[in-house]
Amino acid sequence: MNVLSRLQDIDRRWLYLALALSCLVPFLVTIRLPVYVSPETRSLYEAIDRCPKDKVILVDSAWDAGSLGENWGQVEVVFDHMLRKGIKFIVISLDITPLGPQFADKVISKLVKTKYPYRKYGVDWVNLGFTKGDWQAMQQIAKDIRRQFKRDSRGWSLDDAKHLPLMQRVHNIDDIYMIYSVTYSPMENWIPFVHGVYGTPIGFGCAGIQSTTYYRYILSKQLVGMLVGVRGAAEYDALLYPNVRERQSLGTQLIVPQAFGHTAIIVAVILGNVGYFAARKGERKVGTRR
Amino acid sequence: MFIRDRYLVYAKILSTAVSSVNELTRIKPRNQEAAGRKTWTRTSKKHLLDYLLISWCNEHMEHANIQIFIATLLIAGLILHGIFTARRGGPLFIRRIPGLTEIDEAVGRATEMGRPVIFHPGTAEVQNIGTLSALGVLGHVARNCARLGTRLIVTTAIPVVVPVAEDIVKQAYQEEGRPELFDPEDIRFLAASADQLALATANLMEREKTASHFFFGSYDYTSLLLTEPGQRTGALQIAGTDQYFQVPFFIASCDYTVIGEELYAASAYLTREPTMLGSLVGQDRAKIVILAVIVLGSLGVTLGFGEWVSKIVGVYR
Amino acid sequence: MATRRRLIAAVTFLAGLYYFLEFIVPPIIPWRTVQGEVVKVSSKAIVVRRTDGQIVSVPIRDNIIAYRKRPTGAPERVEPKSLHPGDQVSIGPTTYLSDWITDVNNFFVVLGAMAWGMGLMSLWMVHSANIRKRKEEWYGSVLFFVAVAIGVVAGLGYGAESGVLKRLNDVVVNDVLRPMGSTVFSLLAFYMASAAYRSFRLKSREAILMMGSAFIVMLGQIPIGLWLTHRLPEPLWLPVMSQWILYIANSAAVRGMWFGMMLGAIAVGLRFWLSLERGAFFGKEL
Repeated sequence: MNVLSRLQDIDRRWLYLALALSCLVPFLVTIRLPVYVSPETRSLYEAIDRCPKDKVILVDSAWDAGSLGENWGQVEVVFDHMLRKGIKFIVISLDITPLGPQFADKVISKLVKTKYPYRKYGVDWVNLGFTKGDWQAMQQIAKDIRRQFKRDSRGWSLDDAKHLPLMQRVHNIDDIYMIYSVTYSPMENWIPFVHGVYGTPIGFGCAGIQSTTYYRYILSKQLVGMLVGVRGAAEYDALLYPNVRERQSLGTQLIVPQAFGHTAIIVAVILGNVGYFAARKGERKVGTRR
Repeated sequence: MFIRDRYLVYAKILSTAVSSVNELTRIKPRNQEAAGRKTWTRTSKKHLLDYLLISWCNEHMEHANIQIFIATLLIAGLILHGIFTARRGGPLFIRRIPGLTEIDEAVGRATEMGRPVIFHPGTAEVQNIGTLSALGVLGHVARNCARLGTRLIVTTAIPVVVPVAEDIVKQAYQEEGRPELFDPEDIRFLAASADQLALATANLMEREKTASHFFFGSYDYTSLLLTEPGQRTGALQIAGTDQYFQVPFFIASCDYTVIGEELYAASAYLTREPTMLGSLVGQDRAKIVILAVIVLGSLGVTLGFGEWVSKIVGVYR
Repeated sequence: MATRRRLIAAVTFLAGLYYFLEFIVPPIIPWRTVQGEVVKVSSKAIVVRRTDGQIVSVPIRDNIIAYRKRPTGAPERVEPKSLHPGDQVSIGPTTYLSDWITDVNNFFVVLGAMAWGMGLMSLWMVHSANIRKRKEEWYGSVLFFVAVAIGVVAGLGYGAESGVLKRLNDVVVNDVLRPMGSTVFSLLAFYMASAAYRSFRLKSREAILMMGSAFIVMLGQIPIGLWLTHRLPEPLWLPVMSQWILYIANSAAVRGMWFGMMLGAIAVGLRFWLSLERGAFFGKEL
């Protein structure tokens, strides 16, 4: 067996080490790479940018630690956009994980602390917390949000004008401009039960692997846009901050390690195939191959 | 049921339905009030027709409009026709599905090695179609294991699956005359979340030195957490899922993979029951109808009569 | 045994029949539906101009429901009293089927929740047997019970504003569960690398096609793809080619797969509903 043919049998631990190192290096050395903004990210950005002043955006932030790497960046850039432009928003977490509201709160409090100290809870945004009910909850929220949520995540009644002035003008889907659902795999029921009935634009933020099933909704214009994994967050950040040095979102931080990781996997696959063909050639020479 | 009886039953149901509709629509409206407005009471057959025409292309997601109603009856009718035709007898052809054909070999391999078999029915709830199909495969695997005297371990993260799986495996062992081999402790609820279950199952694979792994059902991102450690133990792995995103992971790490609707066909394929085979034939006929509608729509949009097609079929957002 | 099977079949059919009828049967009795434009709304009646021009007064009763047509063309169920003049509406007595669906769903959720005890019982049986019989790594089962106890106590602090329980809850969620969840998820990256390395071999034409599209899509997702091809004409940029594969080729494949899977789901559902399913649970005909 020649040296090249051994490339098809590399111990997996070397692969893991190579992958770990390739993902680690960008954290130690600052590397900035240009980002190509995909059509689905651009259309989501433009849709959110068009939000009228008298309406709010409903963010269904239903992710937890498992998909933090992809979803944190996706909500961070959108919250950044909305807080910067003064677009009011309401955060909910539907069905998937009860930890969703806590993670959304962490992202918002970090942004408010570092960039937007003048934005206030109850005035610029409200977190209504976790709820269950799938498409029925979606319909309830659309018809009358108070039927699904009596209190926000901090325990204040939705009719409490002192603590939640924003909620005094949000009652049903007519007050909601758009719904942005961020989770590992957003629920497709938003599309028929909300967009199909009320025409409300829907945007998704999902893991990269799950995105393949949602592209057809963008083609049929049932989704207004989508952020795909870390790439989507980095692209959105590029639209928010054209100057690469100003971008600080998790998406921008993680896109370079992701790029290096992908490259490592591609190199490993190429090496495996080089080894495979070398072994086949060796077998033919020896005459063992039929 | 004989053919004659079946048609008699259909005819009775249809005639009862027609006469009920006639009876209910025969009532005439009452006289008008002095203000000239008609007091709403009951409407006539004409208004029923108006309702039906207006509900055409009604884009109601919660209820069927006429097109969906017709499509539902058509698809159900094709499937039921396939089933009843198959029951009349006659061979039905199903192409070979490699993953399902190798199930018996996998159980035999475990028997020869004297090691147990693991079955994982997915991470979705028991009412999920993928899980129900997986439980159908579990029955077949359990019968094979019972026949060959191989230990079968079932792991799940869904509590409701535990009694269902227990019943299936116990029944299989009883039917094969080996009830003493059944151990209820081998039907295990290992953890409440899919990723914890995956790690626990991986640990179980190494500890019990399982020889064959079956992963059938609906899976989320934890599919690779199950199959990759299994691959390392050298076990023969057969997976089947209806979750589109997990198919590549299964293909990369399992020896055989059953993709998409092949999972739903698994029960039919394994049992070769006429009912199940007939259902598959009916499904394929329904697929041809859908294909025809797609082709018609594509031609319509290309040649300029797309609006006519969308008016007939309806537009659903 | 046959009686038990028939009883199961009958109950299954009735349960499924409800959902089937709830979907098929319109929510308002069809021959008593009034469709048209709202002219006037009062506390006692809704006055509607029907499509044929007739003015009809619909008294508001408990069994009356209304569907208002949204600008999208889809109907939305509303309270009759919340209608406004000018609304396109369908109004009439309810068939009650849709009114019960929440309660019916809740019934099945409660039924399913009763099985939660089964899961805990299964865990209890396995781990207590491990400890009792001093099986290999029995101390792991001891740790299991300790972890369950801590989890239950920590869960009491969920939603609390302050206190020891809240701090315990924060530690368990933020400092234990969250990093462990991230760790488990990150295992996927390494497993994917080893699975891809082991299985992606150019053994056939289809494999070459698959590999080529995989490389284009993977490189198109990352900035390196743009860097490699930015000097070429735009249609040949890796991100642009990747977008074409995802939007056009992938969407076609996904739609085809979904059609097949949904038909399979309908067939399986129909077989279960009519108790035509054969196999593990349903060995014999009724």
